[in-house]
Amino acid sequence: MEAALESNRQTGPDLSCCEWEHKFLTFAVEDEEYAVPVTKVREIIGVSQITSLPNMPMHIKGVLNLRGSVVPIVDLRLKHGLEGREYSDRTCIVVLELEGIASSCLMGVVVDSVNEVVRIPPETVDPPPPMASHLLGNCIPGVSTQEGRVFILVDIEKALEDDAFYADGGL
Amino acid sequence: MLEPDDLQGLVALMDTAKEVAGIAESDAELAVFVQVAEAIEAVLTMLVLFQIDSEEDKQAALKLVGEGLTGLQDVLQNRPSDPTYIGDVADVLARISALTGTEISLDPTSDGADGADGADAVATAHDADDTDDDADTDDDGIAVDDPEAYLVLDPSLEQSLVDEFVTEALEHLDSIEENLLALEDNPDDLESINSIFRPFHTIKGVSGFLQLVPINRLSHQTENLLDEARSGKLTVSPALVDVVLSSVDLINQMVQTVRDLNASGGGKGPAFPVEPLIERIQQVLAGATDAADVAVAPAVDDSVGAEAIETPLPDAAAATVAADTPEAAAAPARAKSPSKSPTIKIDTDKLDNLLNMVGELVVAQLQVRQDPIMQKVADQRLQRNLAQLSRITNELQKTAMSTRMVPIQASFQKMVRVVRDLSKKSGKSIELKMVGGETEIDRNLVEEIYEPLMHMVRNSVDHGIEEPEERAASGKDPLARITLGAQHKGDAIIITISDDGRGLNGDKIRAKAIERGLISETDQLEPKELYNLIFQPGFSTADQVTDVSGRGVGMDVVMKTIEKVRGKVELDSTPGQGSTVTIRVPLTLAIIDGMVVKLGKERYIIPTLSIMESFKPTAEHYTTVNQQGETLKVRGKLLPLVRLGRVLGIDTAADEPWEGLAVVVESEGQRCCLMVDTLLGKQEIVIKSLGERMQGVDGVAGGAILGDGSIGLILDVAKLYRMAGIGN
Repeated sequence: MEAALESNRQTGPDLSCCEWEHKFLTFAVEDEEYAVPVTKVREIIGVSQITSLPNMPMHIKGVLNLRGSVVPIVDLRLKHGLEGREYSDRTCIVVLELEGIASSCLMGVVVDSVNEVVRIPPETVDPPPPMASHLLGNCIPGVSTQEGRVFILVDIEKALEDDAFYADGGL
Repeated sequence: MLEPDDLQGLVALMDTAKEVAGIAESDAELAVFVQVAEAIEAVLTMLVLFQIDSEEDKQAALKLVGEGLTGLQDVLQNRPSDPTYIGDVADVLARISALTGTEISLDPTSDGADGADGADAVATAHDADDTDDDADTDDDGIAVDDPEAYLVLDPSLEQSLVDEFVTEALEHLDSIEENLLALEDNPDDLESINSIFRPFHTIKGVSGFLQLVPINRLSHQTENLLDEARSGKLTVSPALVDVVLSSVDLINQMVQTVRDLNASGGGKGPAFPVEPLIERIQQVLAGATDAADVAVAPAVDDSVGAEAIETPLPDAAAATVAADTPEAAAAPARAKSPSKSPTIKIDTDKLDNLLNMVGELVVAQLQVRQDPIMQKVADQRLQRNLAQLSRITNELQKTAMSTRMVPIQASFQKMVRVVRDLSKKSGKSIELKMVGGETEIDRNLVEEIYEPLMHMVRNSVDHGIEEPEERAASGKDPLARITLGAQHKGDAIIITISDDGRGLNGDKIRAKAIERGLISETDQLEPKELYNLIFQPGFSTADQVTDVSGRGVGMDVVMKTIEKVRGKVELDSTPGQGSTVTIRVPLTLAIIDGMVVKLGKERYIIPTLSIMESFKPTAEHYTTVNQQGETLKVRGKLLPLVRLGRVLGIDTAADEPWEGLAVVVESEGQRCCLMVDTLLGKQEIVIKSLGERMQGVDGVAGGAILGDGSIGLILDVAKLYRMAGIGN
């Protein structure tokens, strides 16, 4: 019986590489297109009223109310030293579900626009060339080229990790 | 088929074996049944107690059990034709005796009375090779450092099983203590003895099953003691109550250790001084006099052990705790506890979730109703439906809240023990009265108020209440009174602790406050203001430090704890007539009243409980100290001014204090003025955590959804103090 279990373990689907049939949500910041696994995305919302937090770095925009949950918001442009841009109709907040210490927690990132959901098979992913992105430097596990478009894969958990959001020292 | 690891199965089988032995016992012809059943039981005991190590031996032991059972069946079938038939049983018995190492002969007159205690679900290592003879005292003379004193939790035990035991045992111990104190007032109450005996029995049984030897031994002995009392062979003396209470304390300690051990994956825990306590039990059992009991009472438990020695009149002093109002104090408590409406246990997470969602619903409903478009609609039906919606929501909220509410009686009940122990120790006779125990408070508050309540009660006993002689001299009833009261008032619960002692010494407090630099010589304070100075950190007026209170750490801890749950403490006192402490705590922790204030473009919420007043300052109010510390003069006092905008890094509309508003807040006994642009209004808010990633945002206690759906930040006044560099 144990042998049977063992073989089942080996032949069973390995979910970690599959990631919902390699589906990614792509979004644009400046002129680059980024991709995050759809499994990490809770929803996409327009920019509504964000309450800013005292004594926080610029890129932490504050918190907003998502149907009763308090969701912290990070502006990806500001986080990586790009010039701030006036929020428009195209500006979106991608609400991500991240692994927390105790349970998963929600976090929103402000992006210039959300594009589409694409399939990025692992075989199309190459290791990132040096300086693949002026954003998110070391949080890029790979880059995928498809029909002339370049998708930059983002390890979003790692990218937001250092925003442990502890106060910036305050006074 | 039974597996050697199936503990529950084994125990069930053990019980059956015992029953068989019990039934067969009455018939001399069935003596062989008794022996086989007992032999089987012995084997099972070894299995349950993990005394058989190798897997092979375990299987062999089980096989023996099986053979024994088959043998019995065989005997049973053949008995009608051959009354002396014993088949293979002799052989099986011989093999079992080889395994267990005990002598089993087929002599029908051999000791068969062992199985008399049929109610024992489990036998322990200790009494497996011992008889259940209650009066047998000699076999317990083991030194304290014997291995049996160590609490060992087998790591292979199912964790949830142990958890269940811990939870149940703690509940049982609580109820035992409550009933014991009732019993002390009413020693003939058989029902009380029963209600103490039963939980002990359960603890004994389960702890034996889990091989928690010290717990099992102690509870076993205590149970024996109670059994004697129950059958009327022993009278319920103060010594008996004392020793059982000590036993409760020690078992409580051990159970908590088990909980910790269980959390860390089992293993060997510390040793507990079970043996000395068992000796005390034996002495009470043997009908030793109170004096003898006092003489040998070892320091098992500091408070209880010592009290027996110090107390000059154990009966007179101690037994008067609530003695003459048993129907006022104890009886309602007991009458209430076995409430008959069926209950279910619910995961608190689920309950919290439900409460959160209801909180949301209340806010969402408000948002709809206050929506400008909605308000413009002059449609009667819509308005009626909206009113109906709001009624239902409010009702739902009330009901949801009530699921988390528990009567405060349980917290009060714990004080009975505190007062009893303290009054014995100090030789003061004190009656504890409880009023309004049925008042319900938030479950989460129960733990929070325990410490403050205990501090206050201790303080009353230690400082408030005079020595009996002093009371008599001043014409007071030598029997002092402490009253615990609770009542609802608006959306708060008022808990009062009052005593009829000597009251606070205003002069002493004043002198001490000047000494500590809290006030100056020239300050004129109202008596009440003066009294409340004792809540300042490090303030104590006790002339001597006792181990009960007087280290000066009590009152500020009370203050801090209560403020943490957004409550308030106040003290009032009349010299010579006693003092009253009033604790005011919110009905629930989930919803608070908040004042929404505007700072530049941002809105912040200040908990209403910490707001004293707000006013529009003028330039005359404003002074600086040493050119830097800004203050506002409020009612003749200079209070530090905190420019909220500056502390929080926000551009405010008002640059100078007289352009905006000042909100006077108080925290940890310290007042200050917060400068804001305007007040926007009061609102009931549901507190939301900002999430684990946002811990430690400066000066912010959490967030709340405001009427327009955006989030307002709730200010943490105590944190603001630290940020602004004022306060302690």
